[in-house]
Amino acid sequence: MPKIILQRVTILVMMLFIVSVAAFCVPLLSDGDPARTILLSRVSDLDLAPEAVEAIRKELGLDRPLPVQYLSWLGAALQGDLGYSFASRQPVAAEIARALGVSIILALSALGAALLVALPLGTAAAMRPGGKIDGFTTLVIQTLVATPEYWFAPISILVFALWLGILPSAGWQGWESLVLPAMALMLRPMAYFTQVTRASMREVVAAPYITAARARGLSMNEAVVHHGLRNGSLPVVTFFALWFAGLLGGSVVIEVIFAVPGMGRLLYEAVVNNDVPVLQGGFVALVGLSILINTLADVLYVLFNPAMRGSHGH
Amino acid sequence: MLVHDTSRLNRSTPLLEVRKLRVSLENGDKVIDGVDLTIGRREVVALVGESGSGKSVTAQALSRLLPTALRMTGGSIHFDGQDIVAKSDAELNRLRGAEISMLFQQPQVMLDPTSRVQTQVAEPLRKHRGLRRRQAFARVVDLLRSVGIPDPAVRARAFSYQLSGGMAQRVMIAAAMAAGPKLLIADEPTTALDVTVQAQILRLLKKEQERHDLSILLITHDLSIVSAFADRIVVMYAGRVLEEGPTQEVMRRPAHPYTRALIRCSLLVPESDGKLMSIPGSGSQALAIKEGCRFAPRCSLMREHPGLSSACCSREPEIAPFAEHWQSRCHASAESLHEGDVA
Repeated sequence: MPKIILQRVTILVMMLFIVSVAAFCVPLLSDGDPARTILLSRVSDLDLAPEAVEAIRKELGLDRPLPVQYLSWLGAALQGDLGYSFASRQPVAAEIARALGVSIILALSALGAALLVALPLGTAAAMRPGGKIDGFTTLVIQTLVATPEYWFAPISILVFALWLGILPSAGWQGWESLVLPAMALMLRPMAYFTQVTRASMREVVAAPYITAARARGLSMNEAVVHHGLRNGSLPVVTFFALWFAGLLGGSVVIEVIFAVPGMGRLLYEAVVNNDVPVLQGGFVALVGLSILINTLADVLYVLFNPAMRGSHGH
Repeated sequence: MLVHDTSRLNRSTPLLEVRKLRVSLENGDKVIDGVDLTIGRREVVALVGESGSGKSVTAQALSRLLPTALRMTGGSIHFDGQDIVAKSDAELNRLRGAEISMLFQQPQVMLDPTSRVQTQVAEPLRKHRGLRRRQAFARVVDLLRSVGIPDPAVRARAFSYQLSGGMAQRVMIAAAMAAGPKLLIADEPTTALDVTVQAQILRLLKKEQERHDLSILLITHDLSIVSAFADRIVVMYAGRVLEEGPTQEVMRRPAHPYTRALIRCSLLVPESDGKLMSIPGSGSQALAIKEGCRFAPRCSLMREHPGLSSACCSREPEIAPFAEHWQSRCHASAESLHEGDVA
């Protein structure tokens, strides 16, 4: 295993530690006494007896020093125990796992579809700068970047669910219910992927090794396919990872509009209900995952680019 | 009998014949202005000049691989009986790497960093000789061995970052020679390499040229490598040919003051004032000169013979015979005012 990958994994572990400390501190930052908050979630009586609060505090171990509390919290978290949701009384870990699964499927479908459009379109635009495809691409990119999801999503429900009646308007049953939210989610990443592909492929198309490949008798298209795409898609890998990490918890609007039971909606509801354990667990899961994804992207980058293996390995 | 006759005809016609080649920028500014160039079979021709003289652009135009900012705006190119200018893109793709190959200045960046040596060296074999992947890769190892790469089977699987400059240029030579071309255009193939490696690469090119009956167009600004390597020398300045002739004679007794200045620069021998020779001014403005000789503002003869200046500044000299197979574009060389030997 190349040294650089080992370095990345070391950094990953250190970052996860910092994240866990930060997540542990989330309830401390929220206003009020956690014991009172918890008690409030169980009883509706606003006049809390001080003895009851004290009892809860003891029961939860909140009277112990903070480092001890942290270690016991971390130990439990590592075993998958993130506590119980105030709202649903379900284990937080199970709720997050369910919601994360939904969000991952949604994000990957949206980003996969975005890539399928962006790579060919960006490459075609790059091969003839200033040409018809290039102009069309620029127009599409600018339109998509300026299109808000909260505008596109209701329109798409109107057209496909109400008028045409071919797709469900909301919910999460079967692949049909995936189409509209994925479509709404893919627009902006598609625009950005196309732009990144176009920029990096423009550089690649003019690269000396493309000229050399042409001098060996390859057509421009052959040279770009055989020697350009892999070099040109390196920046796209990074962007894909960034968007993937961002969409996992960041597709709140879409998940709420289409009633998709993903991470965005889970966290949105947790905020509304002041559901501290879910917020805390969601924070750990999302930040941890995004660090993991970025590490994976770095590893992929190294695997795509042999010269990186050389600069740190051997 | 007819077969005999055509083959004899083939041998007498030059391999490459360029007439009045013109290349312009998109705004119409000429970069190459009426260049004639002839390369015989098995002949090695050196195309020399300062940077900006248009020698690299000439090379790119020959294989119709000009950068997008440049357009060929006139002239004819005939290669081995074929009209290169009339060829379609598909026909040109079949010609490049098969009959005309190219070498470049910085071999390491000419190799795709994400693709193995064998993939790239095998391309001409698969594309032009119809070899399958496996056959081509086997042939690549032989090719790498023939250009002096140690452990060819290991190097075949290497990436460009694992190769030194010299090794990378050997790989480029292997790829260029793979499909058995008739003409090799080498654009400053040794400029980016260490001096010791330069000599090795030039020896290798000479060996390949003799072994495969190859013609070579060597583009260089370094006259010190020309005399041992090239049969003929063509000197370019500001998009024009100023002098052309047999290497030995031209080097010994250059007809054009620009050639003479270039040679004195390359000798690295101090002048009488103890300084190294340099040509005053720069050639980059010379393309804009509309009247008179383009070299006139930098020419030493103009300073030494004030009587010349009226002709040189008003009328551009034609390229004219100076001796047998020897031409020069200078009012003074026509009037044999030149000083004689350089050294």
